[in-house]
Amino acid sequence: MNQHSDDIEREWQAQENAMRLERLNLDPLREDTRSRHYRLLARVLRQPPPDGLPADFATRVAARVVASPAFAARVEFVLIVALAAAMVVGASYAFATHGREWLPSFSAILPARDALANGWLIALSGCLGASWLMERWQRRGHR
Amino acid sequence: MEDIHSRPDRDLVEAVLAKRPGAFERLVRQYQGLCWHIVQRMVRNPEDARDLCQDVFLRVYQCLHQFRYDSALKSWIGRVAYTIALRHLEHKRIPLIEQTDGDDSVLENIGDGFDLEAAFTDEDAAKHLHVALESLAPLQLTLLTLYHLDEMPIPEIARITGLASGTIKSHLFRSRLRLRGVLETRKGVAA
Repeated sequence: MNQHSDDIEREWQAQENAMRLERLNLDPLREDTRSRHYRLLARVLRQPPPDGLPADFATRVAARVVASPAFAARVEFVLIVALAAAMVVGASYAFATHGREWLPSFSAILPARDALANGWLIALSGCLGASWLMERWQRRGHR
Repeated sequence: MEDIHSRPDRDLVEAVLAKRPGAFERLVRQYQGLCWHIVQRMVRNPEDARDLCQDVFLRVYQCLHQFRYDSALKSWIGRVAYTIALRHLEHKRIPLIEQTDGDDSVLENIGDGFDLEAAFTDEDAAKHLHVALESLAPLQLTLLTLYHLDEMPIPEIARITGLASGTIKSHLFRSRLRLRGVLETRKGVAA
């Protein structure tokens, strides 16, 4: 058991010495076959992996990072539109399938038709206009 | 030891967080070599490795505010690169280590009388070694690269990989022993 541990320790030292000599580019005083093999291995291991990253890698990654907030905003906009479209489709489907059951009870609580044409439409237009103006104002603030 | 590195690390990190022009590009340029060594050695496929290196630096940019200077920036970025490459291997179901190399019995099977260089030129032997290196598992090859090429001490490699120092030492020992064995089995071919 001890002999085995000594062998392992000697082998480890041979590996480490070969690495040190190769790193410092030193010639050993005396070198056996094992050391020579480990030296050769250390030399090969010090060679960088093939290919490598393109010369403009850092520039491209930095540019991508600068562009990423705009990209995120675009993704957010697309998601909002998709969500709104899904809600419209869902609401239309619900209205088409169950509308007849709901409509009478809704008609009972809604104001008369001419009042709707005046007061509610004006309120709706006001809301839409206000949110459009807010959006324009916010966009100008971000520029 | 980290005090020596912490000032330049701090300057660079603060410059990037303050979005100073050119700071992030400087950071990428400084650590892209390490990133490539880790990711390429783990993943092997050059196209995948290039894409993953981009992902590494995008992640670094997103998470840099979490860097607490409790290790060198180099180790922290190395850890991000290692984690991303590891996830890629898991996704592709590629094993990180070989399950077969459990003991050091290979030590007893290696003769020490054969002079490789008498039979081969350095160039032949190096070519043979390169082929043998490609047959190593991703983790072993990455550890050898960090230790030999990047000259990282074992505790720093431990920070990057999350492995215990003893485990790293054991992997290094067995991989180098195995590669020495591969060289010496050429004896039979050459004879």
